[in-house]
Amino acid sequence: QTVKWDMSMEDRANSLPGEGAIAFAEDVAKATNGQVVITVHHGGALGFKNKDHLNAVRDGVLPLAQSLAGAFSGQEPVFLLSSLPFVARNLDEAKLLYDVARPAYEEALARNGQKLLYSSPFPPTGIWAKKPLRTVDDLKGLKIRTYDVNGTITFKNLGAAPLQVSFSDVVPQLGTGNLAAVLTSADGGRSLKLWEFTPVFNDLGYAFPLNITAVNADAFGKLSPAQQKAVMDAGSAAEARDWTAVRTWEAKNYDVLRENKTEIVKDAPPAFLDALAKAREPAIKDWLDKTRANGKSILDTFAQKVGHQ
Amino acid sequence: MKSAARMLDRMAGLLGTVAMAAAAVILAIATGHILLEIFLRNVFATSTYAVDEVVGYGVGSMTVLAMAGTLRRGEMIRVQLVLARLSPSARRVAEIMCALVTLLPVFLLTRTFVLSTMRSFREHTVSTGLLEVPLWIPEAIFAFGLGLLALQLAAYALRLAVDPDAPIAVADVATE
Amino acid sequence: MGAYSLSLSVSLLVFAFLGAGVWIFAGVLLVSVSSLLILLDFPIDRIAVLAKTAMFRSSTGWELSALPLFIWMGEIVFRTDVAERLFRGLSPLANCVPGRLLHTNVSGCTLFGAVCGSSAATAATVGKITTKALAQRGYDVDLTIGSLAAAGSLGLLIPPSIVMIVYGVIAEVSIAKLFIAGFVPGFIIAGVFSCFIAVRCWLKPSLSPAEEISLGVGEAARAMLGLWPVLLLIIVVMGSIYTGIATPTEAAAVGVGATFAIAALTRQLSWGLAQESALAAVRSSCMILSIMISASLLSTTLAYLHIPNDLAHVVQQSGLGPYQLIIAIGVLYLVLGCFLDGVSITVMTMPVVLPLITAAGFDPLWFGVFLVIMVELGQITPPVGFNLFVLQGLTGQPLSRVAKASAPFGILMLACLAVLTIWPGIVMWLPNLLQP
Ligand code: NA
Ligand code: NA
Repeated sequence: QTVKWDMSMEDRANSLPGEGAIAFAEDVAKATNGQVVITVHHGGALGFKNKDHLNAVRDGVLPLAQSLAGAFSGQEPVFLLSSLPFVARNLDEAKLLYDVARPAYEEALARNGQKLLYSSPFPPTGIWAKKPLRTVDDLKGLKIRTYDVNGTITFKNLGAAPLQVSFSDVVPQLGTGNLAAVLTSADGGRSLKLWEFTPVFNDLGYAFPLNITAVNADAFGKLSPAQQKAVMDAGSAAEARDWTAVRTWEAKNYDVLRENKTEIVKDAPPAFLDALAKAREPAIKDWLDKTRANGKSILDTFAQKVGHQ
Repeated sequence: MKSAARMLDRMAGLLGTVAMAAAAVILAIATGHILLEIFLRNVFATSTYAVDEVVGYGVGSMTVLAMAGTLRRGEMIRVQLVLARLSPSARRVAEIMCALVTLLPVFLLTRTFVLSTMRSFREHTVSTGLLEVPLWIPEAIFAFGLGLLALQLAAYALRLAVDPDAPIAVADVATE
Repeated sequence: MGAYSLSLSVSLLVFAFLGAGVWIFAGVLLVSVSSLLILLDFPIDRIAVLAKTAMFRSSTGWELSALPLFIWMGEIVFRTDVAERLFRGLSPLANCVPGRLLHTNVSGCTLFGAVCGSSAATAATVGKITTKALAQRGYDVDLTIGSLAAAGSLGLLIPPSIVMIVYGVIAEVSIAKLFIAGFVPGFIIAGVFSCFIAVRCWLKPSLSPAEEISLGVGEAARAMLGLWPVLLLIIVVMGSIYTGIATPTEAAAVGVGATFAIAALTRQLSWGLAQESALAAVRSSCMILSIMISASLLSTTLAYLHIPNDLAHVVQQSGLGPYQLIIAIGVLYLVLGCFLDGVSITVMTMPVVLPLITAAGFDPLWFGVFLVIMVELGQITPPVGFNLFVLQGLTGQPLSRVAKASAPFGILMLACLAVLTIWPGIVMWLPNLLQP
C-alpha cells in the first residue's frame, strides 16, 4: 500500500530549499520502492504560509511541511534563535548553532505532535543598499525594509529608519525611492532583481535563517519500521546536501550579482560589526526572557564552542 | 412555535446589526491606522510597526462580523436560475434547503474556530509581529461572526418552516 | 482517478451547488468540503481544520485591505454630488464620440488600474460611481456591465499588480520591467474595448442616448469646471503612489481620506454620510471577500487533488511545437481561470509551465504579460469570476446575464492576446526602450 503525502512549503521550486525538497522526495520514493510518495507544493500553492505550518502539521491537515523556523516563534519562541542577528557569524557557526539547538527544536516540535526531519539553511542575510556601508553613520536615517521584529529592533537602535513594507510593496517602494535599502540575502535580492534599485550588496553575515522540515508524528508512526528508517535517512541526506549546497549556491548567486554589476562588499570593519552586535542586544535579551534557562543554555554552550558571544 | 421563531429571527437580526456596526468601526480604524502610518513615515521617518497585523486582522474580522447582516439583507449574491422559476411554496422549501445546507459548513467552521480560540488562549500563542497580538482575539471574533451567521441561517430556516408570513430575505433580481 | 475525471467531478459539484441557488460563498465552500470528503476521503475533522486555516490565512492578508477601502471611497463618492458633477462635466465632451458616457467605464477602469492592483476593487469602485448614473441616463445595461467587468480586470495588467509581482519572483523576471511591459498591452486592450463600444453605439444609437438638454458653450464650460473634485482625487491618490508617499496598498486609505476632505470642502460631509457609506462598504466588501475566502479553500482543495499540476503535466507530455504549446497553455489557463484566482494559478502551474516556456524559446517577460491577460479573462469567466460577482452585486442582474454581457469583451481580449502572441514585439518594445 502506497502512502501519499502532500508537503507544503512557501519557498519557490527554483530556490535552494525548494530544490532540496524535490531531491528529498525523490530519495524517499527510491528508498521505499515508491511506497511513500511525497508531492512537494512550492510557493505556498496549498494555501498555507510558514506560520500556519506548525498547527497544520500538528492537527494532521498536512502530513509534513517545510517552514522558516522563525515563523513558529509566536507559539514556540525557541525557533527565533535561527534568525537572531549576529549570533552565528558564518555558515560553519550557523551549523554549529543548529546542532546545539537541535534537542530544543525537537522538544518544541514534539510538544506540537511532530518530528524533525531535517534543516535547510539560507545564504547569509546582508543589506542591499545604494552604497557600501562601512560605519554606523552610513545607517543614520537609512530607510531599510526589515523582515522581522529582530531586524526592526536592531536597526532602530542604530538610528536607521526600519520600515515595515509588505513583500508585494517592496519593489514599487524602491522604485519611488521611499525605500533605500533591503535586509535580505543575496538569494532574496536575486529573485527580486534588487540591483535595479540598490546596486550594492553588503555581505554582513547578519543572520543565517533556517528552514525546518517536520512530519506529523502520527502519520510517521503509521509507516512500517523500514519506511520510517528510509524517511529519516533521506532527511539526514537532505540536511547534509543542503548545508553543502548553500556554499555553491552562494557562489552561484555572487556570479549572477557580478553579471548584473552588483558591487559585493565583504569584510566590514570590526568597529562596524561591533556596533551592529551591540544594537541587537535588546533582541537577544527579549529572546532570553521568553526562552528562559533553555535559551541561555543554548547560547552558553554555543559561545563556549565558538569562543564569542 | 411561530412566536418563538419570530423571536429567534429578531434576535439574529439585532445581533447582526450590532456586529455590522462593529465591522464598520473596524473599517474606520483600519483606515485611520494606515493614514497614521503614512504620516509617521513621511514626517518622522518612523512607523507604528504594526499596520499589517492590525489591518490584516481588521479586514478579516470586518468580513466575518458583517456576514450575518449582509446575508439577512439579501446582499450575498446567488445564482437565481432555478430559484426564480419556482412556485412560492416550492421556493420556500428551496430556501429552507439552501439555509440548512449552508448551515453545515458554517457550523463546522464555527466549532473549529471556537476550539482554536481556546487552544490559542491556553497556549498563549501570539502573532509573529512586534505587536505580539494574542491570536485568540481575532480567532474569537471569527468564531463569533461565524456563529452569528449560523444563528441567522437557523433562524431563517425555522421561520420559513413555521411562519406563513415570513418574508424571503433575498433581494430578488430579474428572472434569469 | 485521473486529472480529467477529477476535474469533471469538481465541475459537476460546482454546477450542482451554485445552480441550486445556494449563496455563492457557501456554494464554493460546499464544493470544497464535499470534494475533500468524497474525492479524497478526508475525515471531517481534518477538513474543518483545513478550512479554518485556509480561511483565516486568506482573510487576514494585508494586501486584501485595498478592496474594502477603495469600495468605501466609491460609496462616499456615490453619496455626494461628485459623481453627478463628473458626468455633467464629461457629457459635453462625450457627446462628440459614439458611445458617449459609456467610455467612462473603460477609461475610468484604466485610470483606476494605475492605482489599484486588484481587479475586483477596480470594477467595484468604478462601477459604484458609474452604473447608476449611466442607467438613469438610459445607457444600455449590457454594455455597461460588460465594459465594467472586462475593463475592471485591467487593474491586473496596468501596474501596480500583485499577480505580476508573484510571477516576477517565481520566474526571476524583473518586476520593474513587467510593470512597464503591462502598459502598452493594457492601453491596447482598453482602446479595443472603447472601439467596440463606439462601433456598437454607432450601429445602434439607442444604446447610448444623447443628453436631452443641450448646453451652451458657457454652461458646458461651467459643467466642466465641476470636474475638479474628481481630478483632485485622481491627483492625490496617484500622486501619493508615484511620489512614494504611500505604498500601492496604502493608497486606498489616502483615497478615503481625500474623498472625505472633498466632501467637507463641498459642504456635504455629515455623520450620516460617514455612517451610511461605511455600512454600505462593509456589506459589499463582505459579499466579495466572503467569496474570495471560500475560493481560497477551493484552490487549496484543487491543489490537494493535484488538478492544476496534473493538467500542466498533460500539456508538458504532449510534445507540442511552440505555437501549439502556447495555445495549449492558453486553454489550460482558461480552464483553471474558471475556478481559480490569478495568484493560485501562478504558483500552482509555474513549476511545470515555466521550463516549458523557456525551452520553447518564449521570453519569460512576454509570458508574464500573457499569463496576466489569461488571469484577467478568468475574472470574467463563470462559474467563479470575481468581476462577474461584483457586477451582479452592483446591478442586481442575474449572473447569467452578467456573464453573457461580458462575453464579447472576453473574446476581444482573446483576440488582443492572439495579436500579442503573433507580434511579441508589441509587449517587448517599451521595456526594451526604457531598460535595455
Ligand atoms: Na493595477
Ligand atoms: Na473565472
